[in-house]
Amino acid sequence: MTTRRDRALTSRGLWQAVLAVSLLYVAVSVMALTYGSSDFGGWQVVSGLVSGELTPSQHAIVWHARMPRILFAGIVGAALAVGGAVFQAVLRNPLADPYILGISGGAALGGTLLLALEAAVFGGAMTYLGQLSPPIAAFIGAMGTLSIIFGVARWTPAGRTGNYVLLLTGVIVNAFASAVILFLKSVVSARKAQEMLFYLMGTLTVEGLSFQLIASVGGVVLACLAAIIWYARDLNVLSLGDDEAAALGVDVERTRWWTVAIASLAVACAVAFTGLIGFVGLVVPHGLRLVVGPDHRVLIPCCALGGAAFLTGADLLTRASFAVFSTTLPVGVVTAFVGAPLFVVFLWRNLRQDAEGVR
Amino acid sequence: MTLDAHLKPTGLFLSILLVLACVSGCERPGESTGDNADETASETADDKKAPRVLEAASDELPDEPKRIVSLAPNITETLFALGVGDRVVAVTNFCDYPPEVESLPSIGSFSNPDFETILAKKPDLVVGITSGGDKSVADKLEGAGVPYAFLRTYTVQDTLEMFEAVGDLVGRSDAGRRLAARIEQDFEDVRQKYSDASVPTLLVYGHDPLVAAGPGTFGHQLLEMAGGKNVVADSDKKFPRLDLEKVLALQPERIIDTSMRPEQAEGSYWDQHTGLKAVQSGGVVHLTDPVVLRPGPRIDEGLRRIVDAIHDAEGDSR
Amino acid sequence: MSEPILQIDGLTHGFAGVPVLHQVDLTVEAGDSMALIGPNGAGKTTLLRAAGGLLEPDAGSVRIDGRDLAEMSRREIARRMSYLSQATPQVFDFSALELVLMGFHARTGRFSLPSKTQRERAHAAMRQLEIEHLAERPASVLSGGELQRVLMARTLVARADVWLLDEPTSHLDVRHQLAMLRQVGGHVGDGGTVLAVLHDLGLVHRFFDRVAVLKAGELVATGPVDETLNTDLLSDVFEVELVRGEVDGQTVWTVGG
Repeated sequence: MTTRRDRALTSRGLWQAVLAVSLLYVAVSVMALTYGSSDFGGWQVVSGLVSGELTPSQHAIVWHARMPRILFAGIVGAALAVGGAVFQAVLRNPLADPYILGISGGAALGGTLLLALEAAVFGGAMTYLGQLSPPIAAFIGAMGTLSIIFGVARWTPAGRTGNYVLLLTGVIVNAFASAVILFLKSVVSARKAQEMLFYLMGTLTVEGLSFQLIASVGGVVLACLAAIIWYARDLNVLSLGDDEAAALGVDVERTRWWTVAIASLAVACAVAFTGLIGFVGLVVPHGLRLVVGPDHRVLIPCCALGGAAFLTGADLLTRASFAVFSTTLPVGVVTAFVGAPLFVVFLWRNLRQDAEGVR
Repeated sequence: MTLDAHLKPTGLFLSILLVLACVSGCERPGESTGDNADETASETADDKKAPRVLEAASDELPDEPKRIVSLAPNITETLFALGVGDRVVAVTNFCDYPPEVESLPSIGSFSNPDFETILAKKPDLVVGITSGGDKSVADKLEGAGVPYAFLRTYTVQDTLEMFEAVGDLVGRSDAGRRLAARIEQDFEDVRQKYSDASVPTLLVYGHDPLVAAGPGTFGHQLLEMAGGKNVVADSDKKFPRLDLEKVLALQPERIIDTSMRPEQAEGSYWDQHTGLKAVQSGGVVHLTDPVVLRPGPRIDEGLRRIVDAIHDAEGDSR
Repeated sequence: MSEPILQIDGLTHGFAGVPVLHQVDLTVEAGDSMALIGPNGAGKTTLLRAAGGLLEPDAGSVRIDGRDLAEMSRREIARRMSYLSQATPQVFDFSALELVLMGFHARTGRFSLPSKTQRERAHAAMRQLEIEHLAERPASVLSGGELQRVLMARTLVARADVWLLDEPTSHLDVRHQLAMLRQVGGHVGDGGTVLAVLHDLGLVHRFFDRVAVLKAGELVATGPVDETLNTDLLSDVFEVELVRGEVDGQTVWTVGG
């Protein structure tokens, strides 16, 4: 594992880190495929897959109950973690999460509005889009929020820099969206309110999605990740401050808007389907930064893989805990339970290292 | 430069949207199976006709399913009432009748059941009712090739037809028809007996907010059959929300409270509202046993409880 | 004479309606070491930032080698000019070495990683500023003076022609102030150009050839240091009675009795 002894990034350091996190992801994914809420687990699964001798029900369990969730957890985890890393860099705030700019508020509002107005207004359009309509509504809501943020930032006088504007707009959008959502929940029927609640809690029960759709979403998120890596070096410098970054040769405005837009796109795609899963976008980048360092050239790829591993692991725990609780836990509960202690460990380790380094 | 930066992301987002929209159009068929089944089946022979209450079903259904998973408490009760209880392999958390189901494994809640657990039971038929989450469950089952059927049970008529539909699904059509007929007869008897009665009644499901049974709902139909007159029968909502003012304006003689609060002593919520006629005259009745709300084989018992509540102000002590 | 390396014409700028700079014309020739002095609020930092292309002035132009900054990309500007300002608190724990290596940003490709040569040059620069032992320290635990020297090392590494320095001696003790300004002198000696904002007039006399005096957003005097700075001018600009003295061959200014 890369130590932080020689902090500046080397080619070897980069590949070591990426390899290590990749192995972690593969290990977690294999475990996730191997275990679930039923008895079919462990060595049985592995040998069955390898030999190709699975009963129809075992085959169904692996490919229809587990696999879609594993794939989607990976995609969403990567999107959230990279989104968090980007926002932490752009906003120069290690405590930023991918929802801070109001993306979550917009997405939640979009999805909730659709559920509320469903039968009433969009009856016809709904049947056509079928099961995709809530995600598309959420996606539109998320990107709509982004347009608002861009618009507001464009109209503020250029003296006070973009960051305050971004942050404040995000806070306001989230607050407004929450208020509207609460309003909607109080005026719709109990049944609809229940639907809304499931959406807002964040869930990975996506087994019904076709592999085609999962692949498309995965493709979009992957493209976004690649684009962020394109800006990785600029993000390093951007975190120093607007003037310093500009002086060193970074086109601050352009970098900021592009990275925010692309990261938001990835997060919006994820949130649209799964609702608001918390903690991943905050803990994974922050934790990884303590291990592999703040250089985004290594941090971004590691966040993608690390976020994927984290959420896949959380989903595994969610599914495995079914036997104990006899009900499906929202994955957001697990990410919080797992994320918080992990974070404390990382922080303690880093504080100890710094204490040793000071004169 | 700022305009440029503003337009580019918008363009990006629009093109992504377009891509996703196209992909969504390539979704698997099997989306609105239920609707198709309803429409196309009306022309075919009687015994092949898809029941009105069958909202969604897979194309291939077994004639005599041996491993049935139930996704709703009323379905579970119906299966047992039709004599195929020994073929039920899993039920929901909320299934509590008959007592035998306590020992059956659970697949979670009926709106969000655990898919893997369902599959692990190797069912040859999954039966549920239409609710918020059934669409996604149906999709998952469709994808995995598991036969399923989702039934609608919103009204009394729905429930009677559901008995027959379930009977057909499990190969006990006669039992299904007999059950429906028996219950229908019970209903008719009650209707006859109380055809002259008209006690202003309010049937309440919950307190915060105060939700009542409106026109077209199950509760409303039971009320009216039992000789009550639903004070919110002219509401435009199925589950109208009331505030205290509204209830005071309506002044029902009877308030039937079906909210499930076992801890709460009888009438403690309503005691504070002394302005209500029903509270003053002891006309508030608590019915907390789910049998009253469940559109299943024990519905005639439920109706009897409501009759008692309306005419004798007798309720559960719990 | 060839084209001046930095040409500022009619620079006017204000923030939220408050005028800060008014019609400033300044010419900096290649090889100049020019100090920019004036009271607080005179607009020195604003002028320096405009010179570095870090703000778009309300009116006027800044040209480097005849090319308008507004038409150049940030990368191009960064290759010609380095801007050194007050060290701000670091949000992420980049090491001192990593910060210095960022000086190569404008000259290296998007997917490049620091090469061995770059590391060696970074270490050499840090040695010159006596901070090589801090290479692996996270920037967040460095003192103000140490961080200031890290930023200077970064400036050295960037090898830009023109240095724009905003109070480069802040946070530094006397010894390090002198060391820092010797770096500046070394740069000029190698053919570079420096425009620096300074408060210490003694240092201005010691290390700079030319001076530009700013008061209330207007350039009131420019020229060689010794000729331009006199009691009347300075007392008027700083609104304090300043007297000149000679100590050990060095010119110093102090407040009069």
